[in-house]
Amino acid sequence: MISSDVIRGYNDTFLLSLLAQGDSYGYDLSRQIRELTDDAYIIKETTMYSAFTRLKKKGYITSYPGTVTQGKKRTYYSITEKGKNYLKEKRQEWRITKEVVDKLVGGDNK
Amino acid sequence: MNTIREYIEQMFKGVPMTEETAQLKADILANLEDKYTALKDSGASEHEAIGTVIAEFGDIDELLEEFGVTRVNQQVTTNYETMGESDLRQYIQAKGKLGWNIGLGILSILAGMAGLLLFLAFQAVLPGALYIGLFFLFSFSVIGIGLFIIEGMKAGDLKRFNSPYIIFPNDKEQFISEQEDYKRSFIFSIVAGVSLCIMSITPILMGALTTLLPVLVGVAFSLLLIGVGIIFFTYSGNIWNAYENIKQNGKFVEVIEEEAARDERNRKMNYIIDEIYWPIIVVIYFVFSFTQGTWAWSWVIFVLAGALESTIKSLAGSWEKT
Repeated sequence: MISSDVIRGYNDTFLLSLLAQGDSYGYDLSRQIRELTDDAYIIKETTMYSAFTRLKKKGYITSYPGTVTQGKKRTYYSITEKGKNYLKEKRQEWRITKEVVDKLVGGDNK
Repeated sequence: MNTIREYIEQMFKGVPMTEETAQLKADILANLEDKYTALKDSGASEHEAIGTVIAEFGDIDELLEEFGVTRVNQQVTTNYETMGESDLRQYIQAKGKLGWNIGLGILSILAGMAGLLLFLAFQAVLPGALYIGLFFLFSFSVIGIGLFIIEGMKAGDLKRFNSPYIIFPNDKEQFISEQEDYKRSFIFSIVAGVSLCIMSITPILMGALTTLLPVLVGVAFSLLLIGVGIIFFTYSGNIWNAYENIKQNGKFVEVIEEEAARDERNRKMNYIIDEIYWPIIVVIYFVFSFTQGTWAWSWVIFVLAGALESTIKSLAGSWEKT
């Protein structure tokens, strides 16, 4: 499992990236993160909701009450145009970051 | 499952409950329950499932900080109501509607009076004009009074905003900047209202000084203009008041007890000034003037008393601080 310190700055981007594929709600998003990373990263509940709050404040996502499933009314999140633009920027930033870290810390070939 | 619910209850203890925080709590609880069910389905034991769910919960303070909420003594959150953003928005809307309907009520009554005057103006050519006019007055008054009664009853719902309540720093900041934005419309409305009231004199003058229209018709039009002007006052004034109320009564949870107590003392001070101080001044003015016959200059007492009032208030204020 990854230490959450390293990944802290990327939680917002993870969520945006998943929401870019379609609206979703809390549990489903945390499940997707775990499954996509083969249990290597598990986002903490409070970390995820801090990120939602932050993203909402910045206007990157909006929320709406979903339909009731299994007796629970869930809050769904949806990415905005502004959020999509931000995600695009972050993707570019990540490409550069990855290269830099790879060169300095070492990738597969070292 | 109950363990999880209990855990969330503990985590959210002392968190002021608004629509937003309650929704957050419900969402998180739902997620944890989903996670728990999924773990159980994949073959985990009760203990394992609960352990994993709680381990993956995280740090509640991180979340509360992002939310702009401080956890407090539970006493405070039970003594004072907490108003979230949606509560406050509804409040402003309700106040606006109240102002609008009160204004409409006044306009309606004035329109009834204007109708009566119009029919009276044509009494000579229209038989029974007085009765038609009275009928007009009566029906419009009923509409107006009906509006007052409805709004009066609804005003009771807004009472909870009249005493101090807990508000989140983010919300307060936002509403204060909204009020700043609203200032222009507010000033425009006041100017429009005042202009209409001043303009309302024109039809009366036209009626009185020219032969363009009968005086009564002039007065009727004047009443209508005043009525429209009043709507500007009551509508924008009530919205402005709502913002002022949020600024005044919306307090942060850390300081609400202290500030509420201070407001209460200030209120008492104002009460003493208004209910005791000024009547005494008026009595002194009359007694002195009657007995000494000094009407020509004894009004000066009001100027002096006015100056003294602010001195007394600021003295009381400085005691307050020490």
